[in-house]
Parts: sequence; structure tokens; C-alpha cells
Amino acid sequence: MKRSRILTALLIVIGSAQMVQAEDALDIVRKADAPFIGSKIYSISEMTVYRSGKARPTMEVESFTMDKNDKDHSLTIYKKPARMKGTAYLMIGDDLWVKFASTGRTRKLSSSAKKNSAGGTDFSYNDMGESSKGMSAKYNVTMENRNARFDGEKCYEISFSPKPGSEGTYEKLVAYISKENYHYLKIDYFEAGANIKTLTFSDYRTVGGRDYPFQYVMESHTKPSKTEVVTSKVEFNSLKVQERYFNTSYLEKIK
Amino acid sequence: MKWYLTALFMLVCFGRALFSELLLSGEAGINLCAFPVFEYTVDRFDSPLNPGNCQDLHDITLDTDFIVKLAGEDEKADFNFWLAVKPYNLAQALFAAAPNYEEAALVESLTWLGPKINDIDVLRASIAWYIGDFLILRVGRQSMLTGYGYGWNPIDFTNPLKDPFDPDQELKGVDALTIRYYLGNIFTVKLAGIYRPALFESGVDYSDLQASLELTGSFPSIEAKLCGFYDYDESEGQDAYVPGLGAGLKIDLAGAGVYGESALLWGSRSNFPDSQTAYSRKANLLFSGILGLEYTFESELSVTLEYFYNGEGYDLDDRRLYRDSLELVGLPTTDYLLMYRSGYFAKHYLLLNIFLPLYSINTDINLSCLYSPDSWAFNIVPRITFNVSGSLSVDLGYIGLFSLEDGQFNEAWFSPVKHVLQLEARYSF
Repeated sequence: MKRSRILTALLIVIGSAQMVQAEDALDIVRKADAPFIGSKIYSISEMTVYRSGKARPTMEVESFTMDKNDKDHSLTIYKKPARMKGTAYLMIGDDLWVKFASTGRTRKLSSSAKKNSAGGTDFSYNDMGESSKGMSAKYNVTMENRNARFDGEKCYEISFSPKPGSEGTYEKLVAYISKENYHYLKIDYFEAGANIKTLTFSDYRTVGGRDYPFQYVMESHTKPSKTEVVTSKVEFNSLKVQERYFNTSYLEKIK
Repeated sequence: MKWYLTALFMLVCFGRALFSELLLSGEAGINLCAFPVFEYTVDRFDSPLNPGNCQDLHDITLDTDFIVKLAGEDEKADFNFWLAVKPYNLAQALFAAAPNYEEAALVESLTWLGPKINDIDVLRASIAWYIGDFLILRVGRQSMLTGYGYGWNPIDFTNPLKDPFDPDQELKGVDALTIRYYLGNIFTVKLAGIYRPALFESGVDYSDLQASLELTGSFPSIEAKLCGFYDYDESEGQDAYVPGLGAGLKIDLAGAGVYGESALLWGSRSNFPDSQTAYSRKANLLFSGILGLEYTFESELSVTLEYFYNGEGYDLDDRRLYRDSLELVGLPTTDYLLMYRSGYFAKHYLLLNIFLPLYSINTDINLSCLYSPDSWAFNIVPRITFNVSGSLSVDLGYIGLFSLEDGQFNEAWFSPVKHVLQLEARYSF
């Protein structure tokens, strides 16, 4: 009886300690997600793809994201180069439409297309329409190492596994979040047990009370390619994001 | 020519004052075509459609085309103005303009100008007014494209027929007043009043107005359309448009896009041969439909497979009569030329399209194969696109038409050209 009480108490303590750890990981991820969460986010970025070290023509994209009725909405419009100008991707939940600038036609793509490269970059369509509710919305998180280091900076190493029923997710992610200011420093993406690509963040600046990375690089480990994204403008709760943009008919309007 | 240039100049000048953002873009293209023939004879281009090479075809052609797009927009309005300078085969130009067959005699005389003319075409000229967040009013020449099919769109009653060999080709817009209303993010209703004067007519009568209605429903992984088209002809077969009802559906199943379209037409939009000397439109109800499947693999390879049942196509008896009619008339008139529509000639078609982007070498590879099981026609269209820079792309392509069985009088048999090599450079600005 006494032994069973001791065992029960021990189990409660261990369980509580684990719960505290799990909460910590989730709290940390939520803090790291905070700059990316928002109802209406507008941004302009330049994307440069490097293949075997050589830079391809830089693409300028204009992005609109909105969370509405608990569903992610995102619209990405290519402004440059001239050959791609007017090409646009519209994602509502798991549905994806593409407007081809050269012909003006809009096509709904099957979901099998979403995992593939968006515009020849190292970002997939899924990556481009990443949840405006943050990573914690689609993934369960686990603390792997509370005393990790990345690029000399102290950070938390946290692994992500997809929540049941979540779509557009990777098999596993491993993120490095700085201890000092809860910035995402690096995310490794895993499929079939292999690290297929890595996203690194830098040039954090304060905008609208949020620390937002103005530069990030996605590097592929399956081919000699990386994509650098430099954000020139970002607005949160932006008036530029309008509900009527997230409709297939608006794609026809895009020049 | 001067009128269009003046209009463009004025739009640029005043557009800047009227709209907060004015955008000028476009494309210039140079297209070199060669027609290899394996028996190089004087009559190498002869066919029932081109007896004695009346269409004046040559071994090599060089064409240029130019599109300039002007667009302006502000919070509540936008406008589009697209001008295209293209060389037109005269028969194609007439077909694209929804010809009025009563003017055939005048049209015939235009052939004296030569088989090709350079023409400035207004592809788009429209203004839109955004009333609130959910209502858009657009008037003018605008895109009315619809449907889910890659090679064919049976439910697209409004536009000229799409070329399955070049389904992404930009089509000339339609003059219309459209009202588009969004019911939340689920339903979209589009109502259009279409203005389409007959060839060489300066306007229309009330009874010549056309109308269309389209209802689109967007649900998770499913999208559906219902379409209706109204066209009133005082006499049957007056123009190339007939009333129609259509439905389309696209479903996402395990990552694959499965889609279909079905259309009912009150009559045919083209003529059928009745005898060696006569032709007419069908007046009965006709059905056309497509069924398709598309999938993108992890390697970026995209595959589309599509079946098209063409209720307006010719069976073997019709094709034989068409052949007999051409032999009898000798020089084919415009009406007979327009009865030949590659990709719509027979009743059954299968399309396989494969697309593979090779980002590492800035190259896209596309292969289309079109097979008609009831007429034994086979077409193959491979194409390689080199994306030289952000503005310049170079295409190398081939079109091959083959008749797999004798005596079928299929589209390959009638075509004066069986093989085409294409080299095209396009510059975007």
C-alpha cells in the first residue's frame, strides 16, 4: 500500500514534469510564431534562385494572406521578371488555382501539384501558403534540446510532427528558436527520414510591434539549389488585403 | 492602323490621370515554320482542302506578332486594353469573327488580297466597376473563358472553339456586359449580355443579342459549374452560335484532379454535308462532353489524360460526303474550309499531355498526343521551351499529323500539311 502510494506519487511528479516540458515547447513555438500570425498580412519580396551557385533572374512577388472562417487564404502575384509578370497563385484552404500570365487562363490544380516547386523556387506551393495561424496549428511539438546552439547563438531545438488530419505538412520538422528573443533561426524539413531542405532566417526587424525576418533562405539538400527571399515591405492588419482578392474571379483582373 | 495608335496614345496619357496605377506590358514574337515533306514534288501541298496549292503554301514561313497590354486600376475600377498585331490566314480570321455565311460572296473576293494579312486586333477593351466587395460590373471586350478541360471545353458556349494543339493560346475576348456576384466564397453568379454583330454588320438587332448565365460552386476539393447560353436565330443556322446548357465538375481525389464537362446544344454550330452539293446545320439536340484526369508527380512531371465526345463531329459517312463535295467544287469556298476543324472533325478524341519543367536548366518539355479512335487520326506535338532569361524564351516544336488507316478521310488526310517544325522566340516586357 505504502509502495503503491510512493509509486503513484512518483508517476504524478514525472508526468507533471513532462507536461511542463511539453507546455514549454508549445509556448516557445507560439512565441516564435507570433510575428507570422495575423489576420491580414501584406508583403513585397524579391526571390532569387541560385542553381549550382549561379543566380537566376530575380522574381518580385506581392503576397496577401488572410485568415477567414478558420481557413487560410493566400494570394501571391509575380511582378517580375517580365516573363512571369501577372502569374498568380490563389490558395484557399487546400485548394489551389494558378493564373498563367502568358495566356490569361486560370486553372485549378490538383492537390498533387501543391507539394511541387512554386515558380521554380525551393519553396513548394504549400510553403508559399503557409498557415497564418503559425506552425503550431498543424504540428505537434516536442522539445529535443533546451541547450542547442546555431551559428553561435543559444537556442531551443524543437521537433514538429504533423497533427492527425493536417494537410500540406512535412513528415517532420526540426526548428531552432533563439532563447533570447524567440526568433526562428533555422528549420530543417524531413521527408522519408531524410533532411530534404533547410530554411534559415535573418535580418529581423521590428514592424508593427513584431520582430519579422526580412531575409530567409531555403536551401535544398536534394539538388544544388537555394532560394533567397528578401522582403522589402510587410504590413500587418493591412488595409491592402481585401476579401475580394481571394476569389478566382479576381485572378482574371491581375495584370 | 492610325485609329488604334491614336487610341492607345490617348489611353496612356489619360489613363495616368484616371487611374492610380497604369501598367504597360506585352510580348513580341518571331515564329519560323518549316514544312518538311518526304516527297518533294510540285504538288507536295495538294490536298482536297488545298487543290493546286490554292492557299499558296510555301516550305518556310516567317511571321511576327506583337501584343501590347495596357491596364489601369484603382480601388473601385479597372480597365484592360490589349492590342495584337498578327498575321492571319484569311479563313482563320473569318472563323474567329463568327462569320455570317450570307456574306460568303464578299468574303470570297477578299481572298484576292492573298492568304495572309497583317491585322491589328483588339483582344481586350473593357472597364470594370467594383460595387462593394461582392459585385463586379464589366463592360467591353473581355475574357469569357470557362470550363475545366485541357484540350476542349464543351461548356464554353460563348467563345470560338479552342485549339487543342495550343490550348493555352490567348483567345480574342467577347464584347459583353457582365455582372458577377459572389455569394460568400462559395457561389459565384455570372450573367452576361453579349454583343456580337455579324461579319460586316455595324450593329445588332434586339433579337441578335445573346446571353449567358454561369453558376459556380466552390467547395473543399470540389468545384462545379452550371452554364446556360441563349441565342435566338430568326432562321436556323444563321450564325455559329446556338442555345446550350452545360455542367462541369472538378474533384480532387487522392491528389489527382478528376474533371468532366457535359453540354447540350440546340443544334450544331457548324455545317454538316447533306449531299455532294449541299450542307446545313443540324437542328436536333446534340450532346458533347469530356472526362479527364490530371496528376502531378513529385518529380514535377504533370500528366493529363482527357477523352472528348464531340456531338458535332463527323462520322465516316459525313467525312466521305465532305470529301466528295470538295472534289466536286474543286476550289473550296469559305464555307467548306470552315467545315474542316482540326481537333473537332471526328466524334471521339483522346488526349495525353505530359509536362515536365527542368528548372536546373531553365527548360520546359511538353508533349501532346491526340488520337481519334473513330477516324484513326493521330497528332503529336512535342515542344521544348528554353527560358533564356526573365524576358526571353525560345521554343522548338514539331506538329505531326498521321492517318493510321486508309479510307477514313480524317483530318490528317485532308490537311495539306502533315509535318511542321517550329522555332519561336518570344520577348516579354
